[in-house]
Amino acid sequence: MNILVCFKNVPDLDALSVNDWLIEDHFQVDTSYVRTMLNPYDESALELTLKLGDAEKNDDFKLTALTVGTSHLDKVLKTLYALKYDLGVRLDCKSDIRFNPCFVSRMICNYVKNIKNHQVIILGSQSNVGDNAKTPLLVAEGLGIPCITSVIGIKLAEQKDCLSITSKIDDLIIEQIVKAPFVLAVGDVPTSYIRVPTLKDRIQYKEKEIKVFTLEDLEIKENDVEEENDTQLIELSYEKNGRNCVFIQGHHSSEKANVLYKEYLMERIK
Amino acid sequence: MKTVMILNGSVNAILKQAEELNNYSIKNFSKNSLIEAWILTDQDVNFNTISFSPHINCIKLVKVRTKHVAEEYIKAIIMLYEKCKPEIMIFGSEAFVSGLAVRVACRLKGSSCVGVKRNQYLEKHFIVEKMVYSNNLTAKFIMKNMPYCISIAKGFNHMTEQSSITDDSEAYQKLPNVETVTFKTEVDTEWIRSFTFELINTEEGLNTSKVVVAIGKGIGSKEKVVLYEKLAALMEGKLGASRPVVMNAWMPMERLIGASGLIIAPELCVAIGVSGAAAFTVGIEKSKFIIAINKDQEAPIFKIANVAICADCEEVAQALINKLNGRI
Ligand SMILES: Cc1cc2nc3c(=O)[nH]c(=O)nc-3n(C[C@H](O)[C@H](O)[C@H](O)COP(=O)(O)OP(=O)(O)OC[C@H]3O[C@@H](n4cnc5c(N)ncnc54)[C@H](O)[C@@H]3O)c2cc1C
Repeated sequence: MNILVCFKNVPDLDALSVNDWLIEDHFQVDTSYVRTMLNPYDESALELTLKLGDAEKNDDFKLTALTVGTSHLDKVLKTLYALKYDLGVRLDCKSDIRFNPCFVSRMICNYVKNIKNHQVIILGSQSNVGDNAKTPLLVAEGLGIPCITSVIGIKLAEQKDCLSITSKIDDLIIEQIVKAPFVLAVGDVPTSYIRVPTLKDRIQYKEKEIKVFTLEDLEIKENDVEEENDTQLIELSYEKNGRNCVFIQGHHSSEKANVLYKEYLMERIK
Repeated sequence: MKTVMILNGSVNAILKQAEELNNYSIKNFSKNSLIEAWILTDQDVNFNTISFSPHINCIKLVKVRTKHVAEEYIKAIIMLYEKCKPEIMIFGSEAFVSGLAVRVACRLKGSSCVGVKRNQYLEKHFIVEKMVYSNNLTAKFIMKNMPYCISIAKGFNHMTEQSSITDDSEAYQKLPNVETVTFKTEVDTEWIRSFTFELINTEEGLNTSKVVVAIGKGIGSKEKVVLYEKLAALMEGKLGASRPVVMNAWMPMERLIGASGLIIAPELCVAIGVSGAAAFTVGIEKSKFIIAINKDQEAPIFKIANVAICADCEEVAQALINKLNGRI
């Protein structure tokens, strides 16, 4: 089985403080000084797929990790090589695609259609900055294949070209054996933090080549970026309606807890 | 503009969906706008239990064969679209239905937006507002192409008192006309070899409890959860959690509060060992009174709290438990 996992590296927005939220020209927000990390949903997708690889003994089982962006992402792809992804792909793109999932999905679809076909395509449901929550759905539409959303489990199935997928709709858990091709949008999966590669593997895969494809390779024109988008950003703003917080003073925790109980809690809990 | 709202009748949460969509329409459409409700369902719907806002002038009921095959729902919606040609299509906030919004728009060459808080029609543009940058910023978008397919943001089931009409029985009319529409909605499901369903045993009440204790990664470990369960129980409240707590499997996923979990609005929320990331605070900011306990003086959670203690959370929790025990 041939599996493609698409991921995005995102800034850790929790590290920005109130005064850091400055909106510049072209609705840019400088987040370059905070660390970046795997988008949490994509991280789950990458780890669930690695677990699948752990269980699969068949040599035909191939994992590809794909991302869209500039060369600074290559180090993340190298880490994924060290975790035994078979192929690391970067679709080179310098454009502002924060709020353009239509374009991102077109790139992914063209990669799958024109460069390398994959039976299963796995993406996180949503990622920060744009919070668009559209890419996996648009990839499925672009390829004309089914899509399962809110996926919380992926397991091998006995039948050929099939996987066992667990997903959620409201308070329903659905477990189904499905035959490829399909797209999976991964939701909130407990204990799916990505594993850490060994130093030995890091060194061994350091030089392994990342496959880079340009827009031209994907038969997409630079001008298509905005044209492709079905929405247009016209305003970006920061507003926080805080409350006036009263800090309870005291010499130690139990003294503070006493004040909290007497002055605020007692009247609120009968 | 011709507007419809689309509900998934195949799940028990149809009541919550209707409440959310009613409140959204009341907030975003003028009193005399008329909206159709389309209910897609694989089961019988008990209309006596569902309230519809005064905007709803007609209900169209479409039977589908499955609970979970999105492709069938999309086909049904598109068939109804071809018949009625609405310009605005509003979907609920749950991931399955918001996914339908995106895919329907894509097939109809319209525009879609997920997590919409507000919409307006201005100078011939349909403009939507939503949270971006992990709930830190608000963005406005022009939707370029019709039909405009939006899924609403979570949390419309908790409206502020002045705008909610939940208790205003006059505002809710009696059941609008229900029309059953029959289509051949079958799609190829050969790719699904087998399936089973299981209902999650969600512990009732986190969504409606008057008191909620919300714990974060700062509590330290899974073993500590019992302490906070005790605290919540002594206050007759429920225990919820931030993302790292459920991701570490210290508590079940159903207890998650925030952008990807529940939006709650209790009388009292006690946030313990949570930093106050925007994706979490969006889940508790509708609470009437917020108490925050965190050892870091600079923690952003204090910005949305009414009262705070800057101290070790275990010590404070233990002291509160002693106090509450003494009370009984
Ligand atoms: C797309 C997306 C969706 C998300 N959705 C959600 C969501 O729905 N819900 C959610 O919660 N998060 C969500 N997040 C994650 C969110 O951004 C934060 O990472 C998360 O809320 C942080 O959880 P936390 O406060 O428990 O942990 P941390 O940020 O690690 O904070 C722990 C806090 O505990 C304090 N602390 C530590 N020890 C003690 C002690 N002994 N006593 C007192 N205080 C102590 C620390 O000072 C710190 O402030 C989402 C993120 C993304 C990207």
